[in-house]
Amino acid sequence: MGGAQLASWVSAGGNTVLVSGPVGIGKSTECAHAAYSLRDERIACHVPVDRLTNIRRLTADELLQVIGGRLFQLAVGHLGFPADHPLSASFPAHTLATGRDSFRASTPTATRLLLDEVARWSRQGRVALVIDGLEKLPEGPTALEIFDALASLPFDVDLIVVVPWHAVYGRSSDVVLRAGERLFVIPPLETRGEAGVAAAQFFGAMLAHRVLNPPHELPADFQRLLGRAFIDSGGVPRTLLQIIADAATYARVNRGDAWPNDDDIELALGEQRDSLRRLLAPGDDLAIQQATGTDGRELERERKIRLLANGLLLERPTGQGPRLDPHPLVPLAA
Amino acid sequence: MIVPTPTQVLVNALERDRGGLAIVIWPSLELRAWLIDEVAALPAMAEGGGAVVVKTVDDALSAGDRPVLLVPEDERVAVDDLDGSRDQFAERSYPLVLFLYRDGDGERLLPFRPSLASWARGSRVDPDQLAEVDLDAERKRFFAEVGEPPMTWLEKWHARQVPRDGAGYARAYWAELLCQP
Repeated sequence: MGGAQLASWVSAGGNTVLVSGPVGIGKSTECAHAAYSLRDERIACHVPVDRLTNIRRLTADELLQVIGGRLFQLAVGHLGFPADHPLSASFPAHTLATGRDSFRASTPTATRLLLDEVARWSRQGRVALVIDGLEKLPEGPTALEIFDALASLPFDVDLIVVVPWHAVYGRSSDVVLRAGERLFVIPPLETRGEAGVAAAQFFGAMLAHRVLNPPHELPADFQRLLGRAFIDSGGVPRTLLQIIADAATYARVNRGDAWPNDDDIELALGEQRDSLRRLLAPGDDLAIQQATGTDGRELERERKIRLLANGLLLERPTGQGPRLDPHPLVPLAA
Repeated sequence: MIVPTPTQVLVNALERDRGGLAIVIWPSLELRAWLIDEVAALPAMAEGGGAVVVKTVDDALSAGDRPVLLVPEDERVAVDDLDGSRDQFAERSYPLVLFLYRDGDGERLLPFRPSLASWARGSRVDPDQLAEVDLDAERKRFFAEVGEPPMTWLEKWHARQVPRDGAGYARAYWAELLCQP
């Protein structure tokens, strides 16, 4: 599951895609990839909302302002859209120039107009909005207003939206944004078998590119440690990178070594275990053990959301539906 | 099992990521003041014009690209705002250190703020963990790593016979903690 698949779904006519997954799984990377993959068919606007404002104080109007501002900047930068376009006055916090023919409207109206204008100016004739960062949206009336604001955007605008778990496991409505929407849950990478070896090699090549100048092959012993850390990361990229970065820092600080050894990896893994342990609440041990190997339908909703969002339980697709397993570093009671 | 010292964890947390986050847990207001001074004195905090102490996430964002010690007046608000604004700190070059009261409002909120908790994973520093450490075993470990007892090494450090780099400071704090009665 990746950005190319999200883009393929949109290309095939599925105009509303919801994206979910645990922290650190690579949702932002996949969103950026999806926007890139769509560039020939759509004017794809990637809106990393969490980089632009505080999600926990976000309102529906502010979200549309952020989207409009980002789209405006994209149009000016890539389509030759005039910086003093009349609609610049409707997105004052995100545009620089205001022309003589300036036009002010409510944010929903101005956003709709801007989407029309950008589609008209573009070679592709169609806009896709890739909206990232909304997984941190608190549950409540404001979140519903925000989903309503997105749902009210013109139907010919494609939407790829990262949504919070509480929307995925909603209390009542089956629809979060639009009828026909499709949910993609980004799963952890496979850590075992051929796929696991290939993924570990990919990360090895990426690290070699990042830290070795000029890039060359990583020392064999480090590759072995990387393979071990990859399995312990549960296939969660951020966790793997944190383990490797921690271990490398321990090697540097404690011994002045450039490469970590088994003890450094063990220190780093211990830190991860400790952090994960602190996220566990009373009753989680039993709930995780009971949910292991199932699709999690028996888990109580609030607990399920917390365990999945924190990556304490990892969901992987199988031929028979999703399957839950504890993160390998979660220290469960025997 | 190998257990890192709080200082190792802190130095590691500050050096792990460009613009990383460390959470320092404080058990009392008196110790909080001491910890703020200790953290501010670390070499990683002297870069970028020196550390600034702020009370809110908005102040941290407007402090510019420099080391920030976030000592919140209201921990719930700070944890919420930091969770909601995490990616706005992504382009920073210097660390952010968040001070939270042990088992206080902010720390108890962390499991419900997965984004922030994930960012800080492996970077939680609790000085009180030292109380759980076997000091004799740690002193032996220090000797095995450094080749001399903590006090002997510390005398050289104070005499400036040891380079003042990140590894040196980390070892100095470790030695000082092991020299406590």
